[in-house]
Amino acid sequence: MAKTEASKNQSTSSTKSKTAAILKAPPLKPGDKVAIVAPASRPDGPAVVAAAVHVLSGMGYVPVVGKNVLAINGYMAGTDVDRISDLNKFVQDQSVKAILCITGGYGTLRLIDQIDYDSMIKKPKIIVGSDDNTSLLTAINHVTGLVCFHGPNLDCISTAEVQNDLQQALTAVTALRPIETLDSFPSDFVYAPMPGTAEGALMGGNLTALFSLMGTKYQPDFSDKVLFLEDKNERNDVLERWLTSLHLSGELAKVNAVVMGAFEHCGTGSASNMLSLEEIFEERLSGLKKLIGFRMAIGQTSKCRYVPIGIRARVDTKLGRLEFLEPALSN
Amino acid sequence: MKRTESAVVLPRALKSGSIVGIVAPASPPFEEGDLEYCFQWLKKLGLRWKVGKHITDRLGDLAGTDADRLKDFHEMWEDPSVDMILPVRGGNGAVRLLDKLDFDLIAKNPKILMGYSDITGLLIPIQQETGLVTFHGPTALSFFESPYTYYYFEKSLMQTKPLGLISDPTPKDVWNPEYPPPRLVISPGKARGQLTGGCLSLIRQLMGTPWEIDTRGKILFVEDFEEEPHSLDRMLTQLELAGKIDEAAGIIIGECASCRPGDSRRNRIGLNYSVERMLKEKFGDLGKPMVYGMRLGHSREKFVLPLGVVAHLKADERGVSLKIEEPATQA
Repeated sequence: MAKTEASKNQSTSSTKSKTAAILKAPPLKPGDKVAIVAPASRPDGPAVVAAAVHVLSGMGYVPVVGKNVLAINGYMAGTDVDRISDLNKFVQDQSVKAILCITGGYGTLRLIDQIDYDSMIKKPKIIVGSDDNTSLLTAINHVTGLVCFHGPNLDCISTAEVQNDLQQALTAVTALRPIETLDSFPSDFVYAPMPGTAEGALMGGNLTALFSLMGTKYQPDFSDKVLFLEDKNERNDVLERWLTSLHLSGELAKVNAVVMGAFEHCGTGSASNMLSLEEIFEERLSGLKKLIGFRMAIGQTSKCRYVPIGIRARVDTKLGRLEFLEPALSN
Repeated sequence: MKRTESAVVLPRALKSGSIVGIVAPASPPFEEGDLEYCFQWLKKLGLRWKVGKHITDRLGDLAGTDADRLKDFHEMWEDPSVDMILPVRGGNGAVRLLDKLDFDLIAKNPKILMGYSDITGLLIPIQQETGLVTFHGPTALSFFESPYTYYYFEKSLMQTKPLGLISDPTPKDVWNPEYPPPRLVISPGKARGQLTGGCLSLIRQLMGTPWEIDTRGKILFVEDFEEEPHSLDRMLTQLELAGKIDEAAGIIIGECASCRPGDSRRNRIGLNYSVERMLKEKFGDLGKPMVYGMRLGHSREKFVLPLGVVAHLKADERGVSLKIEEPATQA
């Protein structure tokens, strides 16, 4: 394996192995300016942007909308230049206290080499998103140590509950309330083939977007982490590919637990003889004696919670509970 | 146990009476009767065959357990009477064998291994670990899919001269030609180097593992099947972020069957633009040759690319030429 390591050293910069110290953004106050960006694909239309503005205004903030949020360039909201200039403008603007992604799709991977990470370290601010934005959040957390929030993009905020949860994420200076099974009714039943408890710093998000960082200098460190995963519209055998690679890379053996969120519209592609996601993951993780729980309220839809990447958490798979052990924002 | 910058090892060419070992290291044949066609066509070439015991086993989408598939695969390398190993098809599961694969056994018993799609997950690691030339070409159920495929299958196996200049298949209907044309220039230039590559999803799956693709000074070829343009973009961007595009001398993007916007049954995003446009936007100023459209991998007419063998790629206003300059087999 010496050769592989040599090629890595050649092709990646020094950011790779270092883990940045944890950095937390200050909480929002009423009247704070918050930015709406589309670093990946374009939101469905102006109504979605107006609704996002309405939601954030209703929460007491002053939303500013990126100039290129509704730009069209193939499957992305404008060119790379359009999208990164919107993002970096808000990163650099000291009056903007939070940046929220309006939708996912694809495109953040093309930007992560051009993010103004230095300004982010100098003036940490809240970053929120999910789906493709997982690449963005994970890269930011890896390079700067900033705690970023994985949870419904603005176009998925469709209930008062998720709005309240977002408000908590944006303002709480104490640990956020745990994600848990509220009762034993099957709608929020957490399936845990490996019951037990484990602790670690949180990492993860959309599996496809997270895996896109493997082999690059933004590949996160999996050591002692609680890894949470979700995906959407993907076949089980494709998700299995990325899991197998995480195993072969040795990274899976380093985590303390895996928490599986919503895998919306994922499945066997109507084949009755394919293995389920539970079986695929259970096989690998029980071999490693790693805790795993399925069906936690983590993902992209309005039923899902905001999860701060980078803070310590405790998972109890038997109780179906993920407890946050520290505040996600600074005091 | 990594061999030093492995010297290239040429397997022996096949002769009349040579034995082809047919295995299923990934997925099983869709219908078992298809193998009868394979046998008929092998007979025409004067070849004999042996069939792995577990070839029609089924476990989800895999041809049986990892242990059984690996046992079949190892047996064919070990068996001195077997001259070539030809998987029935790709599908899923090849990469699952890598951490238990006996590379020393393969190094001690060099023979021809050919396949595409999921089999890429064996071709690249085996070539890199042992130096043995491996063959990106049709499988046991596809070498007789078209006269073009059959021509290159025979030419690459049954003689020891270099494959030389690659020609295109004859258009089926000149009045209604298929898109993309086989020789689109994305970026002009000239390059000479060893060939490496295969199915993009598999190259991606090897990222971050000990068998990550080494593209340094090489001609990298990639192709895929039923992936939307944004999905190809994501995979190429991951390679780019890992330095794999920078390090390569030249790049061949294959036809990529069913990768036009809206073609994928698995993963659609609206507003897509074409693969061609994505490539031109991202790589138009690459400063080295990148071509798009050649018929390989999942194309129904495919030529054979021997990994580890030196080729010359030229792309300019007069067109594209690919010449495989060195032999891929020995007598």
